[in-house]
Amino acid sequence: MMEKGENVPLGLFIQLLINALSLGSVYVLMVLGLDIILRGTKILNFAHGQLYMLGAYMLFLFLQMLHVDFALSLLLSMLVLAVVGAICYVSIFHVVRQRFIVSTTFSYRLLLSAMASVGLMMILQQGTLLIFGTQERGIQSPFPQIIDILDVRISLLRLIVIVVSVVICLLLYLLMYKSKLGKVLRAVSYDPEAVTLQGINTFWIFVLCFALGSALAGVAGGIIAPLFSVTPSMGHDVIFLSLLVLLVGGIGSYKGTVLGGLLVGLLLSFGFQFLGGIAELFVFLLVIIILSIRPGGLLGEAAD
Amino acid sequence: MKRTVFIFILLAITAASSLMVACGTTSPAKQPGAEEVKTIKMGCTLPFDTSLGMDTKKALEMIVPDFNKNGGLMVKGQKYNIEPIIYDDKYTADGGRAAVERLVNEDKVRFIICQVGSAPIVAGLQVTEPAKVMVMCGGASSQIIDLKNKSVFGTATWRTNLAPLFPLLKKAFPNAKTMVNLSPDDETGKALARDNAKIATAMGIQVLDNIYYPRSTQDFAPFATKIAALKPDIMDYPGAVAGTQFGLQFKALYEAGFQGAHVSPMAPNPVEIFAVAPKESMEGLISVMAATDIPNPKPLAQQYRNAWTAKYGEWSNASLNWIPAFYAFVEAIKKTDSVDPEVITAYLSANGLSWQSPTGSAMLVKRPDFKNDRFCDTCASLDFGIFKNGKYEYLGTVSAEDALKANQDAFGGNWK
Repeated sequence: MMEKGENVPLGLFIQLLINALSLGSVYVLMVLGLDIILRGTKILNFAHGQLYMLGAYMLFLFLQMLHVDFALSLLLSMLVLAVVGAICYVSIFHVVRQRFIVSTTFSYRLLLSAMASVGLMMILQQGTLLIFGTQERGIQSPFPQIIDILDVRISLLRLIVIVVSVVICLLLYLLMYKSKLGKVLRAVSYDPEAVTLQGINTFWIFVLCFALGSALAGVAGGIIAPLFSVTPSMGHDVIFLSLLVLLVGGIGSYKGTVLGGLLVGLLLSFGFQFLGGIAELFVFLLVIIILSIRPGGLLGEAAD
Repeated sequence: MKRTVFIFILLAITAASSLMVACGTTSPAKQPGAEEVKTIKMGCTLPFDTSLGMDTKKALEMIVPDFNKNGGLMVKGQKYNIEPIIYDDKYTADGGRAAVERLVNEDKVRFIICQVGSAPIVAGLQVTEPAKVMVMCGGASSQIIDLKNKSVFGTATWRTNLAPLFPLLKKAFPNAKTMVNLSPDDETGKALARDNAKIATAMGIQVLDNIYYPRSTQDFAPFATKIAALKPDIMDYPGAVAGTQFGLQFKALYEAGFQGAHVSPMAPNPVEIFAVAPKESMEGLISVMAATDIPNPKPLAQQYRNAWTAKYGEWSNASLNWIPAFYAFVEAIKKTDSVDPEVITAYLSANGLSWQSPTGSAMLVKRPDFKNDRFCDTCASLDFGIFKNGKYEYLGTVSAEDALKANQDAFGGNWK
């Protein structure tokens, strides 16, 4: 046990940092997906955790049952989830939105969409239970190697989780800020009516937002599956922490999402080492403090 | 006119015969002396989202019909079959209470047998105790054997298998001096961590820390990093589910560089563990070994395994920890020649019970260390194994009597 005043050994510090980054980067992917859907379609998708769970099951299906290569399995999981996301939008959320009239208030629209997402959450959960059963599924790590440098033992898979997350974040950045499509996606998040007046069919943009967000949840679930295990209930815990990350970073800010994810990862990893099981409470405390100082989150729009 | 009357009579006859068929009056009269079989409803709640819950459900769905097919029970000259009614308790107190309420109030069940987790069991006792429903269950919490409970019997060995296990651990790892408990932060985990710490201290092993995790935890890296920094000689996992989650714990500790021994009161499920963890991570595990997996298993254990593989294919030992309750239940009815839970409970509480199950022989014992003078807990024969050089090796078997003696020595008092 560390005594008061004793320095944290460098090895332990690096170990905790790697844990924090690998955990945080998964939250970043999750929350980026949640944020794209929320900003683009104004739907608070509570079923995002179940899409993450479905991503993990898809990886289990491709990697473990069909013996497809890990990278390809991850890509396929992502694609399947994109299709699932698009179908969900068209068959559920679009139908709900069709019922809105001009006088339907924003908060009522948000509430109805959120309720629909709770329904979707149950459908996905029960569907997975029916198809894959209730039991936990284990996936052997495709990269079981441990890198041992100067008393620091780092799992190669954890490093790969970090690298894949960074690559996806960069690709997403390029898509959102350096492409025409990204410009449209961002424009829709600000004013969909104005975009419609420019002759752009917002229906397909909404479908794309949902597909992209779901694909990100799928890749987060898929990449984490060999690190942990796959269970039908794995989406429950992650959705609440993801919502907290979203609030910490700030809704509508990609940089804020990355910052929030990493901050929560660091807090959980280092907090557990030095504070024990109450570390999770500090995440909630952090959210309260940040929101009371900056109601829009660290880099969110309301902060401006 | 005649034609109308004829049709009317024909319709009336048809309607009358249909009515007679529907009421069963045309069925042949019951033969005198034919055996009427009554049913004993046996309730159970299990966590359906865990392998131990699902495997126990599958086990009950296998052994109960077999038991009925082989004659069922004969009580005071009356033949009885057992009807299992099983609900999901979600491994939670809320889920357990709701499931038990349904069993007791809707299904009118008077026996609840083979429950698994402490949280649902303890919550369910608030319903079963006032209703005098007899409960024979797993669950590690010492609340189960609390003085205030009069109708519950702990038929798993969680509270009594560490006393005989620790001497073997000391023998296998004579230089081990320190230990860390890694437990779920629920009633099961905390109760077992307390008991294990007590036994470890009595055996001269210092408990460096009790670390608790939420039962749904999957990322054990932060816990493992903390444990590796503490550098214990032994890792103990009180209350852990010995399947996939166990594997995730081993994997995280292995990745964090832990190289000491592991101890577990639960027989590990290698299929689930190796689905997530490398074999090297389990090196040095000393634990209870499934009675079906030892060399030359006893006939009842072999029979159970054969029946399982015939019905379900791949063998899984996860149900073995919980099904002894069913065998104890059957033995209790036979011994008392009664299906009245109050009669059976009173007899067992005062006189105890011995029974055989696929895990071996077992007996009810008193718990003077909990000031409970009622036969309420269980000591059973235990098989132990060690995971060494990539293989799970059989260490030996401790009889129920020896397990009882080890516990009496560790906790004091007369348990018989």
